[in-house]
Formats: sequence, structure tokens, C-alpha cells
Amino acid sequence: MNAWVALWDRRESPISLALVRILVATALLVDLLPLGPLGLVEAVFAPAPLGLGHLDGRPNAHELYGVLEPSSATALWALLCAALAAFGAGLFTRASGLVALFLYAQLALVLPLADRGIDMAFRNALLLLSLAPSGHALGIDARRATGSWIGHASAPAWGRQLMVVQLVVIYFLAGVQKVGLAWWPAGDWSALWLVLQDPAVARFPGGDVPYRITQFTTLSTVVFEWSAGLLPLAFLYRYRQKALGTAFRNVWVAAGVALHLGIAVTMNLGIFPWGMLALYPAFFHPDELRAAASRVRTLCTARST
Amino acid sequence: MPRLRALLITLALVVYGIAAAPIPPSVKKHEVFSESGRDELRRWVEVLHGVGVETSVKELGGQVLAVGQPLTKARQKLLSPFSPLLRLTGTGQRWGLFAYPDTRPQALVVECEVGDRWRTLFRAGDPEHDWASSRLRHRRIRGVWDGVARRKKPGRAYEALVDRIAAWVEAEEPDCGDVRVSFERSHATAPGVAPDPVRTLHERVREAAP
Repeated sequence: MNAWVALWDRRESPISLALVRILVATALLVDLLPLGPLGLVEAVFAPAPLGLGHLDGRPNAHELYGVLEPSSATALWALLCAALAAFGAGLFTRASGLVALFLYAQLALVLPLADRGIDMAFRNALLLLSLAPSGHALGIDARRATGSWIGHASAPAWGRQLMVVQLVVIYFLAGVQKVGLAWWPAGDWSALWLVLQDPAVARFPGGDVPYRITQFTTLSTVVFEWSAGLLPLAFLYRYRQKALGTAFRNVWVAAGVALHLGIAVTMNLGIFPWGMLALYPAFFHPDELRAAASRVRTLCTARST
Repeated sequence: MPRLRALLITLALVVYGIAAAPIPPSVKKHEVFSESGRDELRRWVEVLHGVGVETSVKELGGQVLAVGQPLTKARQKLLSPFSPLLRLTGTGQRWGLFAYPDTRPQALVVECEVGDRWRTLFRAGDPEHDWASSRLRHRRIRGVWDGVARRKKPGRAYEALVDRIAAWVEAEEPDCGDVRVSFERSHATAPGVAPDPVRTLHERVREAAP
């Protein structure tokens, strides 16, 4: 019991979590802002007759559109973008994060077909980042409180720890649920070959990617996702200063980056690959990020002299 | 305070842990016995036959429904005290990315009538017909047509999308008359396996304004 309480009572610099906050807000803005110039805001976020979604027939379907007209969609979208910008800048971080979360969730109810897994991952992250001290570093709130953009030296670490749990759950469950035979030897590891034939998602459907390569990447994807289940052990080792844990984590993260870059190149899944990568700084202890930044600075200084 | 925090985190882990149970969000008969679903069941029947278990597509599909539906309902019941919070925050734990690769993928096709023939404006995945592709392939709009294409009845969102596409064509393509929207369903197979012929589904025509 005491160990469990102590686990969630650790403290560390909030820099890793603040970095996730900035990247999540940026990725969401990159996703949402183009809807305006494309003329899709009302199509996606307004109920009928203005938009594609329907709210009738569902009791208590919508808090906001229960009192607002469908024509408010553009104002709600603008408010969501403003809240996200404030959240990313670390301005009234908790309040702006919770406002953004509420609006994002409400707008998602209008047209559930347009709301994908990455949207749920982002909302989970927004909730966590709003409740945890993600605004204690790298933002306006931090600057006002401490006089420095770096912000507080120490804050509770549970937010980052839960973010790692969330990432483990996402990847491990994505692996566990790959029960389609095409992901396994009985299906000749043909899953990614089939996915790359799908004109809805493939960037180059019917392209000339060799079958053997898609088989290898299918196997790699399954191994990568299932091995996410070992990450908690790796973190446990890390806390005990064992190099093996850090090495496993580093290899796993490198594989994750490669997987998402591969998805970005071969598939048209919008912000999914970038959105997932936005959560990756949570894998690193703030001291590791500081050390990496210091190494980069040293390298830059050496090159300029 | 640390104890209260640990308690709240434990509660959150339990609730989201139940939500994360690897059970599909819904198990519906039309999905299990869709063309893609039957392809998958057929492959499982062959695998099970190889290890001495005799079953059929119909029997196995029935078992999937018999096991999956009560599990889905049980999870819904367990989560019901927390569902207002989950709904208000839009949070949850459903992470099945390409769990079953679609062997019957569909491509949205938009055509318009020019004179007495149909001109293809957009076909998903076809770089030569990419009219309005930044809108039609936007992940949120793709979700509308890719999500409904495999249903028996594509639903109101699809009908509204067709209306919207017709309005875009009318505004941007003055030479066009009627607008036709449909899906081309292909058959994805491993190399060397002959695919079924391409079929057209859910065809809708919107007449041009007089």
C-alpha cells in the first residue's frame, strides 16, 4: 500500500509533460485549423441541416446544441482552436485544457463517424495534461509564477507516469486485438499488403511495395505492439538504475518512431502518426531530456567555433 | 493528500481498465456476416479444420455473436455509473487499429454528367481523378464514407455527404449537370490469388438544379 502511494507521489521536473502539452496542442491545431479554409467546419461540426451529423433520436444528445443553433458550429470551432492555442502556450493551462476537452468532446458527438481513435487518444491526453501539472513548465503560467520559461524545478510526476501507462495500453491492446488471421502466419503475414490495397487509406494503393517487405513489416508491427506489454518492466528496471531497462525502452521508442514514420509515408491517416509521436516525450525522464538538450547545445557550440 | 491522490488514480485505472478490455465496442450480425467478415470466418474455419476442429462459417459466426454480445453488454453495464463522465470528456479506451484488414475495400467515386456522358471527377486512390481530394480525403470526411461503405444501408450521413458533394460540384464545375456518387468495391487478395470483379454499391444521383 505504501509503495503504491509512494509510486504516485514521486516528483520530477514537469518539462517532459509540458513538452507533450505543447506537441498535442500543436498537432490538434494543425488538424483543426485547415477545416476553415477547406470549408468543412459546418459539415463536420454542425448537426443537420447545416452539417452531416444528426442528433435527433438520441435523448440528451448534446449539451451545447441543446441550447445553441447549428450555425454556432463555426464559433465553437474557433473557441476550441483558441482554447488549444492557450493550452499549448501554457496560459491558464488547466482551465484552457478543460474547456478545449469539453468542446472537443461535444463536437465529436455531432458526427461520430468523423471521430477516430486518435481523437480519443488526444482527449485522454488533454484530460490528463489538464489535471496534471503540465503548465508548470514551458509556458506563460510557469513564466508568471517563477520568472523563467523553464518554470518549476519540481512537480508531481504522476501525470507522466499515467501517460506512459496510456501509451502502453494503446499499443498493447492494438496488438492484442489484431485477431484477423492476416496478422499471423496462418494468414501469411499479409495484413499490411491488404491494408496497402485499400484506396481509402493507402497513399499509393496498388503500389509496387514487395510482398516480402509487407510481410516483414506486418510481423514487426505485431512484435512491436505486443512488446509494449514489457515496457512497464523496463521502467521498473530503469528506476532501479539498470541499463537494460533504458536500452529496451530506447529500442522500443526508436521502433515506434520508425513505425509511425512508415505510416505517414505509406498511408493517408491524417494526424494519426504525428499525434502518437506527440505523446512520446512522456517516455523520457526530464533529466534525460535536459541531458539531450545539453548535448545538442554543446554540439552546436563546437560547430560554430 | 498523497493517499487521496493514489486512491483517485486507482479508481481511474480501474474504470479505464474496464473500458480497455479487448472486447469490440459492438458485435453486430451484419458486421460479422459482411463480405469481409465472411472472408475472415472462412479463413478461421480452414485454420480450425487444420487442427481437427470442424465448424462452418455460419456456426463460427454464430459463436462469435453468442460470446461477443454478452461481453459487450457486460462491459457497458460495468461502465454505466461512469458513462456520463466518459461521455462529457469524450474519453475511453478503444484501440483496435486494423484489427481485421478489410479484404473488400471501397473507393468513393464522384462523377458528373457532361453532355450525354459521365465524367469521373474523383476516385479514391486514383491520382488522375482527384477533384476536391483535399476535402474528400480529409480524415474526418473519409471517416464518413469509409465508415458507411460496408453497411447494407449507408445511412443519413452518407446521404448528407452526397448532397454536400453535389453542391460543391454545382458551385465549382459549371459544365456539370447531374452528379453521381457511388462506391467501387474491390477485392484485396494476396499475390497470385485472383480477385473477385469490382462492384458498384450505394449509387446515388443528384439532379442538377434547373
